[in-house]
Amino acid sequence: MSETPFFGSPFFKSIFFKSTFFRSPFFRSIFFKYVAIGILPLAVLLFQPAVNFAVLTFGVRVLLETRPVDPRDFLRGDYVILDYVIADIPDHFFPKENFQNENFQNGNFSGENTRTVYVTLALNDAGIASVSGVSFSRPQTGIYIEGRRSRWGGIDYGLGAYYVPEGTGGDIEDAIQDAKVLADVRILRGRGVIKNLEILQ
Amino acid sequence: MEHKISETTRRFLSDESLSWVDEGLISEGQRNAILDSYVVTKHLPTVVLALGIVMIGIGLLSFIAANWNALPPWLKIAVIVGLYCGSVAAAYGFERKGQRTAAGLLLFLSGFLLLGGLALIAQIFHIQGSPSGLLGTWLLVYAPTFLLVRSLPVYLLYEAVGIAYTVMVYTHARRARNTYLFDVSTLFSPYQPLLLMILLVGMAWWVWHEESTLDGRESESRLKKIFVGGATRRIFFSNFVILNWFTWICVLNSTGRTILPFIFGVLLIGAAIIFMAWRLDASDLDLQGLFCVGASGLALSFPWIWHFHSYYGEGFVFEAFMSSVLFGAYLVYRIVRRQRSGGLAVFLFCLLLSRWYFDMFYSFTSKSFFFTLGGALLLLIAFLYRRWNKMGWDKMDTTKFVGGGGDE
Repeated sequence: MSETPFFGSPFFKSIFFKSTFFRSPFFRSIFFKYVAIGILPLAVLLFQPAVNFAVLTFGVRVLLETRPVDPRDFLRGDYVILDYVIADIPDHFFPKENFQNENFQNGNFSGENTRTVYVTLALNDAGIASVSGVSFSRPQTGIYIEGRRSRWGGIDYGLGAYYVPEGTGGDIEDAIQDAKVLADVRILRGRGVIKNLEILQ
Repeated sequence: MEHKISETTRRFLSDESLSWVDEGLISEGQRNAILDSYVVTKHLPTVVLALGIVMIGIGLLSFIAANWNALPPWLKIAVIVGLYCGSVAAAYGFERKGQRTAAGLLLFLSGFLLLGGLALIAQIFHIQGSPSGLLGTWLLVYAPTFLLVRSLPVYLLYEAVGIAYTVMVYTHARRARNTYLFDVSTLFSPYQPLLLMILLVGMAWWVWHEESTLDGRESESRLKKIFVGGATRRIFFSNFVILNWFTWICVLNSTGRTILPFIFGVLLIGAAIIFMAWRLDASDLDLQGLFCVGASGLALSFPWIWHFHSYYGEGFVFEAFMSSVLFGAYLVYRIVRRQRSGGLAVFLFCLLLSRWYFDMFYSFTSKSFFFTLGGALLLLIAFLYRRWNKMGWDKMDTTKFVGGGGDE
């Protein structure tokens, strides 16, 4: 190790071999080892719920209209697959300079920073959202939701799954065949989290 | 003063001292005095213990899952975080007491809890995600455990999830691009280079730092032992090649009817390897042979394997049951006669029991009770095996291999 230019350099040695911290009993202790083991998983286990709780608590309530999808694919395991009306955005909403780009139309995103889109939403009296604009940079005002253009067209908002209690999937599937289903979504700084499904008969 | 040695070393010493008595170098009394000055360090069969702990963990989780929907989200998160922190804290406690095996097993359990916790958090907040994304996240956050803890179960778990993740990413990319050729671009997905690096570094760490205690002393690294080892190592790898080739031929010509001949083929190859091990007095080959025989024996205990070859009408269960009885009897024979590879024999026996336990009771009992009882039974077997091993060494067969191999 010491023969290599970097690992043998005085800089490296001063950091890793002479540093009092790395030679300290604390760094070599079992306690430090377990802190190193546990800190990353714990951060992820706490961060993810914290962000979602924040969105559910402080987010704006928006109702998103869903569309029926292929019934054979509707239930996969114990979650309902949801497709949204706002996933298909008419062409005229996209900025012209991007939409006319050949790579963009072909779904080739390499070299183009056009994969992440921000969809501005307008709410009607019932609180149901519709698309009022699309931009490739984060809007400063209004209610907007962040999504990604999928290779197969449409926008993926990461809201495509709704988990249901075990064994109740069949009942929900039957209930939503001829009904209008609205997803009660909370949005905070473009991030959406499903709070509930509302089935209107 | 008592010296701690491994079971293999104790066996070697017993053989050698017997020949010293025969040659008149020492008396029988001196031999016993020498043998009494050594204490065999016995560990519980780690894999059986791990299996038992995982089953109890699943039982606990099943109990929580049964009441899961009634819990508010914050309590669900608290349960997930509490279980993970509890297992890591318990591992810390064991390691402070110097019980590294127990600490490793608890960290192994914490890996499962972490994976389950990440999936449950996605479920609680209806987060749409892919299984490969879940595994990728797990691999990144569990990497410190993999790198800092020298534990075989942890290592195997990480490698297994790493391979599953790689296969998922590759399969997904292949489907997306509709190609059946290897797609190099999958290697450049966001996580991939980092994960490969972690896997490789971890593997290198394990290989070079693992000290073999087979001979009761620090010997060369595992990698060196494998690649520049003696003749039996080369036979070991040539057996691998034969098995690989045989499997490939069977996969190429696979139909429902070929599966039973394939399993019997592996069984025969395994039996041949065990015979070879007996002739050459090679414990590695014995382990390899028992692994082949064990895999095929377990496979034969499943009724559907016999689907196309039943001689009793539709009674596939009869063949499966009889195979289990014969296979179980062979394993018990090996354990009772204290033959080599005892730990693997006990593990296979536990797998066989678990397989029938699942078949007979899974549908009729609550999941939490089922898993907790199963885990407790496995732990009981592990402890009984330990006690059995501690009982009088004079009962141990001191010939090199049971059946007369030692006379040659």
